[in-house]
Amino acid sequence: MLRRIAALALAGLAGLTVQASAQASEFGIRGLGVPGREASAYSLGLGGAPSLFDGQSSVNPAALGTLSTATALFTSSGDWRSSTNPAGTLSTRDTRFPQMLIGGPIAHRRFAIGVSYSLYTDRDFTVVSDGIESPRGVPVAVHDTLSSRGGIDDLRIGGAWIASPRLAIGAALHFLTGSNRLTSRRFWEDTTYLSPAETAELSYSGAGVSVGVLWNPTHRIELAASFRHDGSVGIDRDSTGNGQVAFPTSAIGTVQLPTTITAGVRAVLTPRVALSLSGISRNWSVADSSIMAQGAPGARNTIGINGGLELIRNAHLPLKYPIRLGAHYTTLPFLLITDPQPREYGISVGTGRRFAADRGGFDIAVERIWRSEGSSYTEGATVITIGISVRPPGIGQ
Amino acid sequence: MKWHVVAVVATAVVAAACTEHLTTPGTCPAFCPGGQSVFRDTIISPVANGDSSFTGYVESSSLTSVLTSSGGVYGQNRAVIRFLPRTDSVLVSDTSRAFTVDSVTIEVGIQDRDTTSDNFVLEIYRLPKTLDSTASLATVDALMTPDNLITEVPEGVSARNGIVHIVLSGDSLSRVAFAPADSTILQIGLRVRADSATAARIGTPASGTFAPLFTTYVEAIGVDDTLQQQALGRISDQFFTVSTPAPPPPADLLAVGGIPVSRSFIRFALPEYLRDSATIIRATLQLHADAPVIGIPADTAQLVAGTELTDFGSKSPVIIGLTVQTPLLPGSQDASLEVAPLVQAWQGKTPTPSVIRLSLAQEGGTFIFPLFRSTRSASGAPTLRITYRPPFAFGGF
Repeated sequence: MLRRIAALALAGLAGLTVQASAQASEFGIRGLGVPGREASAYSLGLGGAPSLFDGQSSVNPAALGTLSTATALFTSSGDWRSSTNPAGTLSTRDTRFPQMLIGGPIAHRRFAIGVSYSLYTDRDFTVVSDGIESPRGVPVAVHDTLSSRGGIDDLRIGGAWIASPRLAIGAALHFLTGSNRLTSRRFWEDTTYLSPAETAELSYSGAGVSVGVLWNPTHRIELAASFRHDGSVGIDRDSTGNGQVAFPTSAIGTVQLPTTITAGVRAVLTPRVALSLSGISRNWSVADSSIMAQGAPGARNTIGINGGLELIRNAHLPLKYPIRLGAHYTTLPFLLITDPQPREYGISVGTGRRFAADRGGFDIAVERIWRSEGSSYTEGATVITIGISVRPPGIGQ
Repeated sequence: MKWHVVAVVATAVVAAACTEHLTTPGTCPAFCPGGQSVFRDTIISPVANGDSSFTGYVESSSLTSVLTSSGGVYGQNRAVIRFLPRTDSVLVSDTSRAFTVDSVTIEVGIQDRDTTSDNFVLEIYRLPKTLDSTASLATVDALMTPDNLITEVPEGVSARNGIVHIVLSGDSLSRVAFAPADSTILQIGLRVRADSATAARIGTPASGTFAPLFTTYVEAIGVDDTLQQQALGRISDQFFTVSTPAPPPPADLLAVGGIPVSRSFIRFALPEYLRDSATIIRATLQLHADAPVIGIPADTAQLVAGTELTDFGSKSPVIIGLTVQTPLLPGSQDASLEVAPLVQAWQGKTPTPSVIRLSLAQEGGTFIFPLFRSTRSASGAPTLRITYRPPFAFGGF
């Protein structure tokens, strides 16, 4: 019965993919982008709730201690989105690689280390708009296109100390890098006006630290928390000009980044049912003044809650196609208009499989996400995330 | 097994999302990171006394037309066309044989003529082969006697252009018979007359379908088969217009075209804000003729603007392929050229000289001969109106 329900749920969400997407979003245009969730496909299938306990996610460095062997993870997500705003509605799609990780325990030591590459913010968009200009007193219809590709990536180098079978403590350095390749084009209906394209590249650089803890007070309850501080990100513009002129790189400012506090609990209700809950808070309002100084409406603090329920179908093989159900809610930091604050909620379903004596595996998560800011700006997205993991034998054991 | 199918389907769906499509409809200010595009308009005057004309361009072999006219606004012009040597024998089965002339045809193309004058007649004379482009109008006219007249061709009032096809046979062959001193070279002169001053443009080999052609139909002597009859076609290798000596163009005006051919150069000082970082959207060169342009009614010439690789004065090389043009009609007094591609070449790290060279596409082959006002004129100097976009604020959010 459970198998049928899960299959139907997966098929149903996959059927919604005619118009969907997740990371690239109109809600990332007026700021640094849509924040990434830095979670594995396993966690995303559970609404992101167990990412604090998941060594394949990059939320809690202490979770690296849960990696039983050297692990390499590669994640790909395809998303389909329908965005609506006062100018109309369009469907979009794109593909991302939001989470990559290599990590595992150090042999004969009570330490685990890991390097991961995650999506901190995604600022992919293309906006088209129409208008009328009268540069010489005669009205001319124009069509503008502004495109952005890229965002901020999070390179994390972390380690965990496995103090006891019930306690792990971790810390990590985060290097924030990445760039936005921006293009502005205007097409004039009157072809005596040339249609220019101007391009530039914004590059980001910053650093942060995070610490986390993972504690199992009983064999049925796990608690976890992490604290992350990212300081600020510097933004440089390396304009490639209009094809005629190359401008030198120029610093255009810094944006304060938030402190992130995350906490969660995972409870094994029965040998075949586990429940995860987590909450996240980010004080994005520290970026408000610097974001507004660059012309954006502003940034607000965000909170999010996540919940997930994992149903184990085979108690002897818990990683053989479990059924994962999840939901999440979060507010989004960057405003499109001054009020209200945008928000996002979604539901998810997922599963996975280990094979070849656990040396290989994959996880799949299908999410349906809704975003809105008031009634004028809405977005519906479906995201399918696939994580492929490899655990070569004899390394780190 | 069903789960494997679900996994494969999900993987395929994610792979199908690999084609990005990120376009979102947008309106400002909600979707205008970096602000809205700003477009400005400015008018630039040439460098004072930096505009000048030079005369003496174009070899006669480059002409697409030769001119003939009968006074009035057109002045006095005679067209002279010389054909290649005809030869004095034909080759029949590897044997050169003498021939007898059966008939001769001469084709002359009238590219355009003044249809406002009644009783238009094209007079075609035979001229000695020794006559060349240094001959004066009086010399040519002295040779255009009834004895040298080959034929007169009256044209219908409605016919603006066409091919004049003259057939000579029997007694009329004597008009094109060769003496030994002629070396089988036929040279003809063309003169027009009508009830009032009139003019015509006669095609040259460069004009294509209006190219002149001299064909002799012969019968080889001593041959009885089908090879007996042959046609010897000859195109023109020399052609020129003999005109009343004209005074040089006034120094305070910019001459373009005429005979001998003139070209004009206009120099601008592009401001730094345009040279360095602006995106040129439209640039319009506005010219004012000192008097309405003379030409055959409804005839057209193309006014061509180019820009230089380097400024050597009258012999400056222009950038090949980077020209713009606009039609110039008789009676017009203003001309405007969209020269944005030229102005863009003046920008950047390796700008070309901000000079515009004006010429006619039909140099030496048209009666259209504009004299534009210059910076030395009391009014009506050339202007360059530039619409541009300052650098877009890509750094903004």
